[in-house]
Amino acid sequence: MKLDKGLMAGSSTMLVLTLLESGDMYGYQMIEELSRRSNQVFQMQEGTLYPILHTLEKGKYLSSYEQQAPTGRMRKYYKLTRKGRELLTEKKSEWEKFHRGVEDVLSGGANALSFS
Amino acid sequence: MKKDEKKKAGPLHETGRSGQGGLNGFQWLYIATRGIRFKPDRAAVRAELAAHLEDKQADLQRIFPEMSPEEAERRAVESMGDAWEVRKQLAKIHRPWLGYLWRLSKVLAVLACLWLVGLGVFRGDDAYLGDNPYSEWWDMDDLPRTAVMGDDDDLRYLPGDDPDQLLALELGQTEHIAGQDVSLRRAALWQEEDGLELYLYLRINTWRFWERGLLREEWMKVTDDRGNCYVLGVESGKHPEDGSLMNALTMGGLGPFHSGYEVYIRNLDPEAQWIRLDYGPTEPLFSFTVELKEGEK
Repeated sequence: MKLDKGLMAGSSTMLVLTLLESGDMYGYQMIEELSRRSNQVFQMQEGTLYPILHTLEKGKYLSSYEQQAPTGRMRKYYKLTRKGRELLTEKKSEWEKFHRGVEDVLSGGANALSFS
Repeated sequence: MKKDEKKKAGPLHETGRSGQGGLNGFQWLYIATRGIRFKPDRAAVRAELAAHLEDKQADLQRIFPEMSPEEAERRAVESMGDAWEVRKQLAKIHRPWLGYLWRLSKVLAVLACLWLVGLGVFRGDDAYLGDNPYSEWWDMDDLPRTAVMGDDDDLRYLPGDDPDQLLALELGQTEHIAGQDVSLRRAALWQEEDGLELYLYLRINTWRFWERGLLREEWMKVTDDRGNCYVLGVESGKHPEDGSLMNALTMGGLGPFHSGYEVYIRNLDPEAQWIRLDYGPTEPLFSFTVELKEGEK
């Protein structure tokens, strides 16, 4: 099942950072891994992934290095930096807050609109 | 599209032509990265995306063995997203001025290092900047100015600058030893109250500054036509007035690719017609002879 792109847009950075939390990966590997971990729910487009990766790298949240693939082509691996880990913690916290708020609204709870 | 661009795009350019609006892999890559103005960045991003396309295409063919390479490429390109939209986003991230600024900073860093090296390690007398008109940034005439400390006395080495001066020669005798040019550049003779004083300036030139040798005082032998041998250093004794060594070989200038040496002989035989310098541990590595005839006027 494919999701509305808008739903994923806000959390793309967090998802990318989360993937790299478990180890260094190259772009194609990240898309495959994201799809696998989400049971094919998240199908991130390459055109979305690379601008995110490059933005994070420019911001020093990620570092990169090249490694030769069995085909002989060089692959660019991304690695989470300390600054990236801090951003991930921040993003996760934001997400938790957002998630709880949405849950509250959907369940019609008393504190439904109390988050800011 | 240039040939080398096709090479960089890998085998994708040779396969299918369909995909997004009929784009093949190479065309997609070309459009998507064309907005990156800084060429090294553009090449790196293109290589990364090309590797991705190849992986995707290879995976599709592995999963669906019956799929043609053209179809696999079409699908791979399709999954990449809109090339024009990607181009816009990548161009926004990879701003050219950042790359140019990085390059400029590297050039400035190199220049700063050269500047520091010029001012520090290789700063020579000739590079002294002061009020003295004899000081200059670079030793243009290859002769020592010797006025680096601003002391008027130093100027007496130049021709005609001192009434007691008997001789002032700007010489050019040069010998080539082990890739270095050793030359006798200047000679000056004065009549002092207690005798004749001779000054000689030697210069060693080499581009291979790391191999530049130092002249050793004990290897310098000074003789004249009357059979006198002038000992240099401590053994020559001290001047009764100022306490300095009577005869000496001292370093008198250092530049990026040269070093200078001064020889003082303060008890020169007044009858001497010429003086000879021999330098070497046993056999001379170089020798210079200076005629002192003019000094006898």
